[in-house]
Amino acid sequence: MLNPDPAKVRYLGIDLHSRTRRRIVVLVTWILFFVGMSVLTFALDTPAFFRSHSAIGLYCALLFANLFTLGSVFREGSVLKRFDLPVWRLRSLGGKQFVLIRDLNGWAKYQYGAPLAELSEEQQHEVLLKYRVGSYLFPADKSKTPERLDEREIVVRDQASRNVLRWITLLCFCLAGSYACKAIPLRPIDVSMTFITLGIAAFIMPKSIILWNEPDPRISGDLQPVEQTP
Amino acid sequence: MMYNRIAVLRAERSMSRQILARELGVNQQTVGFIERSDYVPSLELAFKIARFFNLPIEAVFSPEPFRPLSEQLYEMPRKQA
Repeated sequence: MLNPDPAKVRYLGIDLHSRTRRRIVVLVTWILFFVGMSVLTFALDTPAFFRSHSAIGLYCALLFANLFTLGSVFREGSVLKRFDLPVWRLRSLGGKQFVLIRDLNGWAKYQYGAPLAELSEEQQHEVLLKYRVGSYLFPADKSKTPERLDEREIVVRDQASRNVLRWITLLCFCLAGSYACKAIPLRPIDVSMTFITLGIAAFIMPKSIILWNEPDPRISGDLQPVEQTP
Repeated sequence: MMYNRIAVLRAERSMSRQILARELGVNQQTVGFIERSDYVPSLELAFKIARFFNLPIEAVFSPEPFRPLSEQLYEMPRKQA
């Protein structure tokens, strides 16, 4: 589930192949997020300006949440693979999914799962024979592009999303119960911030779980073939 | 739990996980997960793996632990093997 390109498994110059480092970064990011949201809640609730212009306060919170989503370690296509690759659905072909391939490296990745330079001579020859200049749509299910999620990764993604949905539902029930019992004094800003936080959590938590759990791809525990002596 | 012989078959052919993963069209880590029996592949992928090694599927995957190959080959008791 981590990006197959090792250069992309970095955040702010920190190599995130190690699971321990990833866990620290995830924890720190979430702490910063909650601190930021708390400060924002306090800041937006106190001045009279924001009280009278609540929409501006809400936009500020949304801006912060979006910055967190797009600029943090959880951004798709950086440390983690994209959850869904962009596909074309052609209704005329029964809604089948297609990927757009534009260049030679795209052809090589589609057919053999690696850029042209990394293929064997035989495979390079095969790709060059089939290659046609232009943009083409190919069936997405036959793609071997390394950026595509394979079946295990899809299972992991779906499982993480299901778990997060379950936690958020439970949290919603708890919050509703607390508010109903008036255990927590309720202010409009609290409701807005809670919804924004829950929305962000629904997006980000599956990625956090995956970053937390995925093993270090460099430590493979691989059985190494015995080196053959000449 | 599904046991498999992928690691042995791969080592026999001096093949890295990366190459096998590329041939199967999956991530390198997924091959590792399958080898360690941490993930049970779909039927489609299981057949793809068996076909790749040119073996029947029951030679690669089994619901019971595999007997060591040496034992199967020479019918030696497990203690001696």
